[in-house]
Amino acid sequence: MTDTVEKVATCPVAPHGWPNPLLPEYEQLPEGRPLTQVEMPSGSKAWLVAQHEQIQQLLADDRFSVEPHPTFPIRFPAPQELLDMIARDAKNLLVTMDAPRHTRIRGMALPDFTIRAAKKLGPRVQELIDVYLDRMQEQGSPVDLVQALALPLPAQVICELAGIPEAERDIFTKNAAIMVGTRHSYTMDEKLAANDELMKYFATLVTEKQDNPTDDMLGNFITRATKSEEFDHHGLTLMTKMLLLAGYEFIVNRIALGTQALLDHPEQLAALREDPEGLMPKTVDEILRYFSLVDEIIARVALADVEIDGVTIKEGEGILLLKGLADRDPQQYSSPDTFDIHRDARDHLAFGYGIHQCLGQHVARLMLELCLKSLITRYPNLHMVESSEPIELIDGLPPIHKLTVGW
Amino acid sequence: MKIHADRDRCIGAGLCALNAPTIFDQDDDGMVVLLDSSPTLDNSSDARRLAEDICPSKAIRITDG
Repeated sequence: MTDTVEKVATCPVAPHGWPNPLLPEYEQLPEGRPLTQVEMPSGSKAWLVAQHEQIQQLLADDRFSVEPHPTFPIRFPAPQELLDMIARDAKNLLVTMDAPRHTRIRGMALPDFTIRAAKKLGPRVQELIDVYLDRMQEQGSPVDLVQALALPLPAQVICELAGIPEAERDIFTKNAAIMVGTRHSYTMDEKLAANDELMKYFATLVTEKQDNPTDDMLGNFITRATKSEEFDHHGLTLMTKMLLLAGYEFIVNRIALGTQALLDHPEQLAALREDPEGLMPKTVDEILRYFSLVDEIIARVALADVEIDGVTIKEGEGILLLKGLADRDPQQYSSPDTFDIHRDARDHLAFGYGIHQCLGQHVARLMLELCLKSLITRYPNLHMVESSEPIELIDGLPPIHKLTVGW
Repeated sequence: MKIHADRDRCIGAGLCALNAPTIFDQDDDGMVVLLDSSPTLDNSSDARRLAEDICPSKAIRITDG
């Protein structure tokens, strides 16, 4: 293992930040996936970690931090002003907070993200799905499933969680789609404008909910957070943005990619139709495992020297956790590149691991399960159109932004 | 086997209650509640998998006896 320490390469995950084996650099990960040291654009050192077991071990270790740090591994050359802005905002975002503050703030949101809370949303999510599928039916075969269901449904579910009134939903859905859903269709200026409009709207929403508390996920969080005096108004606005947008693109892609994977594997789809109750949870986990690759990687910085499998990660060094590759780790999963809804993939890292594991995972599961169930029940002949190039990828990489289906 | 659930370590991911609902529950604050500390052999493999591979905060521990 010691010889890998000397192999300092330029970080191969920049600039996209995607641990994607489609990128040739990934083929250079040494056999057996030992920790590999790389140099970040800033000149600081970081370690690439691609083994499932090691990633779990490191994410469960509280000697690693998500908070801003002079040598935190940032995958692009960042000007000081941007770093200052990130550091300012980081104080208000759950994803860039360490324990114990993280534990307190997460606890304020948690009661509205339990399994029971997600289950309560079920009937409303199903109603919304039925509305979109009715529209799809009226439009007639074929349709782009991303525009018809995958993009609008999660936006509406998020509006339900946030208690956003019907009349104001367009502000959210329009701008959220520009920011995350169909990213290559918009310029950076358009995305910044969408961000500004959303931040203005969220600021108003926070004030409204402080003045007239509502019983929904966001309303309850704002009530608890306001009482705690942990945030100022801008901080609450930033947290609102994080809570409402963090999982949006994730679920859009899983609905589209999951549907595509099932249509690509007709035997598995037939098995799922036979036994939807029994196989759906496994199907969802397998979709999550198989498509972990499309996500951003996880980064941390060491606050102390940490030894793992004979390698010492020194205080101040970064770690880049390639969870997408880890979810295809042959030491963890047999035939990892095969999509197989019959396998036990419950330990996938799609939602992360450790104290920052995705808060909204049960809502995400609910949406994915209900969408897939509705699609396969309602359309026994669902199939892909334009099968030679069914997925339109951005810059040759996921996420998906178009999936034409017929029935 | 005996199962232990550490509510101080728990982060409320709810994966135990999702995957082994006869052994674990999630309270209104999201935290783990142990329903059955000595499950039958049928359920024990799920408990072991949860403890070793799935629980993201390592809040589940299994001891002999």
